[in-house]
Amino acid sequence: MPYEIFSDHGNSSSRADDSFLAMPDWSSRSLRVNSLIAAPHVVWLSIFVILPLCAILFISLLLPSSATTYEPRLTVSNYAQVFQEPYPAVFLFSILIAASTTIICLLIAFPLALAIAFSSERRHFFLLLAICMPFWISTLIRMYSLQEILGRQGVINKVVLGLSEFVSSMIPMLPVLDPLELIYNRIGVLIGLVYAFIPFAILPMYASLVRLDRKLIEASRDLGATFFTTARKIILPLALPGISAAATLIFIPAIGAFYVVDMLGGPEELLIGNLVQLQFHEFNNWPFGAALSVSMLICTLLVWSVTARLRAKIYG
Amino acid sequence: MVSPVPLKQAAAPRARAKGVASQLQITPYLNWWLWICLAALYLPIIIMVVFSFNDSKRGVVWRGFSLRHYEAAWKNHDLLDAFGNSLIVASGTALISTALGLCAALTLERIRIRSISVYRPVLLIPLVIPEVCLGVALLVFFHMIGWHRSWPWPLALCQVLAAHVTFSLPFCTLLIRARLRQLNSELEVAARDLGATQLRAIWDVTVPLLKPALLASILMAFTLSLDDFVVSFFTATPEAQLLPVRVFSMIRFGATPQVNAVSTILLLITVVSILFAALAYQRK
Repeated sequence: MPYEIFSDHGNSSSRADDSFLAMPDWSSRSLRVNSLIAAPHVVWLSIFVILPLCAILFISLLLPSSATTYEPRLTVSNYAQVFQEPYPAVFLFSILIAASTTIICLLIAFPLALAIAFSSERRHFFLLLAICMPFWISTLIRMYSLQEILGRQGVINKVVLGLSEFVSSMIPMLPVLDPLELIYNRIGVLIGLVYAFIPFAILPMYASLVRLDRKLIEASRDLGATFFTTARKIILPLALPGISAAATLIFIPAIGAFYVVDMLGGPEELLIGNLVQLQFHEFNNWPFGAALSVSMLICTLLVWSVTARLRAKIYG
Repeated sequence: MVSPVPLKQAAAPRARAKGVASQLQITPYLNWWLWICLAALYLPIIIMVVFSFNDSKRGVVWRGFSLRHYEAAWKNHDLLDAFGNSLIVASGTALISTALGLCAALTLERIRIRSISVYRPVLLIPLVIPEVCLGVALLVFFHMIGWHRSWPWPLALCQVLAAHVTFSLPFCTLLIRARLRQLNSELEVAARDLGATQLRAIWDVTVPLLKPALLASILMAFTLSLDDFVVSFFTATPEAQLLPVRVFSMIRFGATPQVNAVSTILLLITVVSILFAALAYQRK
């Protein structure tokens, strides 16, 4: 569950229990007071989370109709359609793209989290704030600015082409480079997704690295291990909970990030999120869109349960 | 997304930290990597802000300083309406989801009923499921209960407001709960001992102590709502467009530097509220 990712789970609730042991138990067992506190958000979540999820499950089992969006007749044909061409290919492609995004993010973020966790304590807060700040700006806007940077007329191409022109004017043997194709293809999608989700990788890994017992590292150094041995045998295994949390937090939203593909991908790149969005906004086939969305939800829950089980295994 | 909880964990015992990194003899490399990554994170944003002041119709060639894109954005009524709508929805979301988040945090930390543990996962559903699924589910739900498309302006904002409260509620809950855990429950017990009812003890003792967390939660929900695109994309009606959705369609039909100008203003609002939230949360 996500709350385990960011907070040290369990120990403070036991502290609260101790203090209650020492004193008369005032914690309320009055049904009236409890329900007064619990009711507002229980009601809210039932109406705006449970009911909509039921609604989408229900509508995915109805027959599509062009006039009224759906007919009140039950069918499983929408789910059968999910398994027909080209949808399985899109599912596979999104899973591959999301998995590569996850791996790239982890590779970039691990040394970064290490750098923050090992820096002096006063800098932690500011470094984390600096990392989080771009993340608070709408992903949409950040993708738009990536467009300005990666495009054929973009900043990177301007710099690269300028350099290559300069070099070829100095050394006539070298040709002037063509503009790099960094956008409207797979590379663009990957850059966009990594840029969008990198903080999800940094924060959980930082949270597990900062709690790592430093004596273990000192001991391994004292015993003559090189840095890479220490990293592989001490730091990496102990950071595993953070790494698996980060992987889950990136993988799941990456599957659905349709706007990244819309803005940075070419016509051939499609994620499951794009399929859902197209069914709802372009083709007006709500039942099929709902079926796709439910399938995506099932994939997500599978990923969650697998990683949760992995984490449980690691913790022992 | 991110709650400032990990920021607080910096307080872990780390007296030897400085020695460790240098012992590993990798400090310079790690620091280089840190600065490179920070530069890469900020480069697109800096470029966006810089080109919002560029005196050219399009493209990334610098033609001198001008405010004409801000002026054009100011005269663009669709954009301005969308901006107003976004601010209204964000303020509403901030207040409602903080109030609900306070209730949820109190439920999780102070009430001991067995069935609460069953309820915990439900609270986190909006965090766990992909945003697209939540947006689509709410769209279908609003359609099914007939709460759609036809309402006049101020009421048309209600459904997108409900949607925004739903996805920001778990963040507010986690934030307030993290602070509530650090508080002494003894103070509340003392108030009860002195004859206060439980509600009164919560209202007069716990809530004032939670003020920084509540403020942080309000600001966080405000920015979450202001910046959200996916859920708004599915739930906002044509009469009540929100800014990110409007910006998205502008980008789709050919980007103009007006988008840069609006984004820069949005950026400014976000940064200021996040800084305030961080300060509020840091202060005891």
